[in-house]
Amino acid sequence: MKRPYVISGLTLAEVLVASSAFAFVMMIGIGTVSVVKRSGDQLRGRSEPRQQLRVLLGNLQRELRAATFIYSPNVSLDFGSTYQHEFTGGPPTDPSDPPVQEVVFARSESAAVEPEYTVEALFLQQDLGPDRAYDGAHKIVLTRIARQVGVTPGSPADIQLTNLPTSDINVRTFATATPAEGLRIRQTPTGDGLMFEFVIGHKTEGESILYETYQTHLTMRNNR
Amino acid sequence: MRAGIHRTDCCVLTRTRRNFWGATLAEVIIGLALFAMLSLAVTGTLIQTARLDTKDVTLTESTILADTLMERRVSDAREYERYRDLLGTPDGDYWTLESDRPDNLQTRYIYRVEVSELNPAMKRVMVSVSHRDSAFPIPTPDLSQGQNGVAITVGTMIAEPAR
Repeated sequence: MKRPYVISGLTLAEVLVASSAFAFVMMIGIGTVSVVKRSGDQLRGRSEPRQQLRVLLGNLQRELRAATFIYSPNVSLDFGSTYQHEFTGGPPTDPSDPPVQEVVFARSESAAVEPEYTVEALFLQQDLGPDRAYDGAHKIVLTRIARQVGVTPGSPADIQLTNLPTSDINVRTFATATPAEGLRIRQTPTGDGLMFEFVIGHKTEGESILYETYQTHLTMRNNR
Repeated sequence: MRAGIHRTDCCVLTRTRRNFWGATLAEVIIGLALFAMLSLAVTGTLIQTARLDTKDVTLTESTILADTLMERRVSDAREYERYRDLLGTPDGDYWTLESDRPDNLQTRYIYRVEVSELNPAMKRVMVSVSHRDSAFPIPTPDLSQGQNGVAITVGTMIAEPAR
């Protein structure tokens, strides 16, 4: 007996329904991946400035504790082709005076009677990189110039800041996403240490900037 | 033939094509389970992200705070008279931070200082920063945060300054 000719396959309606279902499932999947990725990016964007701040504080703790002298310069200093900064005096000890946004200090490199000094400067620099946290964000720059001797050997106060060798500068930058007025520095009433106020920012989902403030206090151990 | 599973003469279970559109109860349950798993995964990821962010803030705040408190102790200890006073710190008492802090940490953290004398010229100072339980007016650690409410503990040795 001859079998009837049967066309096997799917109808147009079945193909359309299956395609729609597949597209729906894919949309949900892509949406899920997108939400998870955005969430991870936001977490990274928020935690990166804090991580940078913690690293900066580790550096400052080590180096400021070994410091012996804090300068009050009114000069524009050149730290190579990229980093110049106008210093406008030193950190005030009087709480009623406005804080400064930069500091220059010296630390001795040995326990000798007339040691050489490393001169370090901390200041804000606008972050113009493509990965900046937001427009107007600043990074904190810490420069270091070793083996400096002043006019009077053993006296860090006599080191000529305007004659620092720009060829021998070590520059470290910390992408703390700090706003323009987000670094405030004062000296402790005894003049032995520095009180810092760091502000870091990150962009929220609504494109506004959320700021966090951290205060710390570091004391020179080597200045007496 | 009706849709469903039928027993044949050879006792083999076979499935026949259903004549109506729709899902069986099993298919609906499997679909719902998959959807629930997906939703749970996304929700869990978002909650974990928020938790990680909170933990990161806590880590940064408590680390900087503990370092600052320790720095003050060490700074005080550099003067002979205050070095002697270090042992006058009552152990086990929780202290509040100054009330005019711009970062507002005084509402969330308290601290405790423990000083022990290893020998007459050497003291060990431990500073613990704890989460504050805001339900109590006096400084009380928030035990719900785990580790008895302690966020971080730092310690150092301080030698007597030369006279």
